[in-house]
Amino acid sequence: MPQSLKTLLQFFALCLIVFVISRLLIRSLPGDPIEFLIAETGSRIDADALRHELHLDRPLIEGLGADLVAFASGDWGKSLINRVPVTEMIAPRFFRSVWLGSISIFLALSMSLFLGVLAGSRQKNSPRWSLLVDRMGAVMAALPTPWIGPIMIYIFAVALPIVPPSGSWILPSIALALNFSAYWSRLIRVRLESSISSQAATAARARGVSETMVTLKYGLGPVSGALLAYLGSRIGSILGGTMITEIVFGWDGLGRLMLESVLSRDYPLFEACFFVTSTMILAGHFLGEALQRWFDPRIS
Amino acid sequence: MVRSTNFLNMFKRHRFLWIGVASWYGVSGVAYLYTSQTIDLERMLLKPTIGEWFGTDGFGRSLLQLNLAAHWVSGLFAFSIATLTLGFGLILGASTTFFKPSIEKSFLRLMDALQSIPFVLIALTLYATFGSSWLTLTLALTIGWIPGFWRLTYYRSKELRAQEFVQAAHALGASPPAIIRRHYLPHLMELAVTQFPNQFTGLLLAEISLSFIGVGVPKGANSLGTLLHHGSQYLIEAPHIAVTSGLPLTLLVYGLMRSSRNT
Repeated sequence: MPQSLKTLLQFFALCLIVFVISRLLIRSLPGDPIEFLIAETGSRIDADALRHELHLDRPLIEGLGADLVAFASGDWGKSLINRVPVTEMIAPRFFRSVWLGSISIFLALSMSLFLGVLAGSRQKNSPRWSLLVDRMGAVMAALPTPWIGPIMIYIFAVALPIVPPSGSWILPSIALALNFSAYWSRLIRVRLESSISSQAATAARARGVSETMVTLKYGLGPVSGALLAYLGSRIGSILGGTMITEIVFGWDGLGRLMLESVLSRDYPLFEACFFVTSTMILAGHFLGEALQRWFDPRIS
Repeated sequence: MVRSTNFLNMFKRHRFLWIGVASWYGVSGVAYLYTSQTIDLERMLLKPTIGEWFGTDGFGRSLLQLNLAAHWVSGLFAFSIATLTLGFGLILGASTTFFKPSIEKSFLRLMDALQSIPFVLIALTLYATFGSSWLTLTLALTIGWIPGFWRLTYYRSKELRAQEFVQAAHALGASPPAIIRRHYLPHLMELAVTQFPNQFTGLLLAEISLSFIGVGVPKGANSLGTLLHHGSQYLIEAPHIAVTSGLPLTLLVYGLMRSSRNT
């Protein structure tokens, strides 16, 4: 069986496991889940109707099967609070989260590559840049988002009103980018220092290739595959960081929707958000592995 | 006998930092016992002055006292969970090398999967199922943090298993628990102690993030996260609450991170 088909089957199998876990959440509630939900949400829906809607009036396996069939046909259930299909609630928020995450990753990569190359290359000022990258990384890692977020909002939206205090992607994307680049810039610096000391790089210098070209071709080239694979494997922590940042900066993304669903006990909505988020994590993981194999055919 | 080289070095090189951290938490513990929660609306939202170094909050309470008490709650919790995760990770990582190859491989995949899940997602899921409690928070952070340290101890244990003295012990009929106790533990303890500052600061920041968004400490418990949340609510009228709530925390975390990286 080709490797790509095997990987795809593994991905779908894991998505199925995640789906089953998400559907077991409501069944794990103490006592009668329906009574619990009606009491917690203050919903006026008839208990029997709700039980039928959530397939809780059937045995476990049958209920999970019915959930899967409904899910595959596009029926992901309705919110318990406002009776709107959860897909209509999730879709716009999902794209807002993807937008925020993409901008943040782009900014973080740009910053990290710039600082990492300056610090890791053999230019005259590299030791100073290396010290800056080191110190900056430590400071950024020590700054908790719940603290730096409100301070950024105060400085840039209240004291100097450059950006709106909430609903804008500028501040959260900068906060996320600074957080990510704290570690990424150090990673690039360390990998670059190692790869520009390789024999291929030394031979290139001996042939008269400029230090800039050696850094880019013999330094960054080998680093790219590892960096992309690392990004893929870190998609989970990127999503986690995005969730907190969305809540701090008031960005209406998937993370904020997930928190709202948990606090309002809207389980159908939470289960759907859980599935979407977990699938994104799995997709990032597999994509990272595939990219690494594509960049470096030696890796099986 | 436990080797003491690396963690003694860590303490010696940064002794003032460690004395400072110990003093800070000592004062925090005392503040926790004697912090006044009395509401005094006449003193609400006072800016930092000579009498009140950090100012007062929205209920007129001293922010310095609240800060110290919150540091004690969050610090004690992070310390407990760090000890728990390092202990479990150590035993689990060492034991995994003695599993059958098929079980070892499955365990590796399971830990990979757990490590890739963000702790926020785990915390939200557990909160949705079990509600808010110290146990829920403990479970969420333990599940999120064990895989990282497990990986370190697993690979270190594999290196040790290939050593001749371990192979000799195995050939002489020593049981896996005996091998772990006599031969693995001294090396793994060193790893655990040098990783402790990283685990502690990571868990501290994680608990703060979860408490800030409302799925962390149970209601009524005042942690740093709830204090930061309080600061964000008064951001425009009293920005000093937000600033003073996080400044000692940032300095503490920065210092601990620097000390662990320079070991």
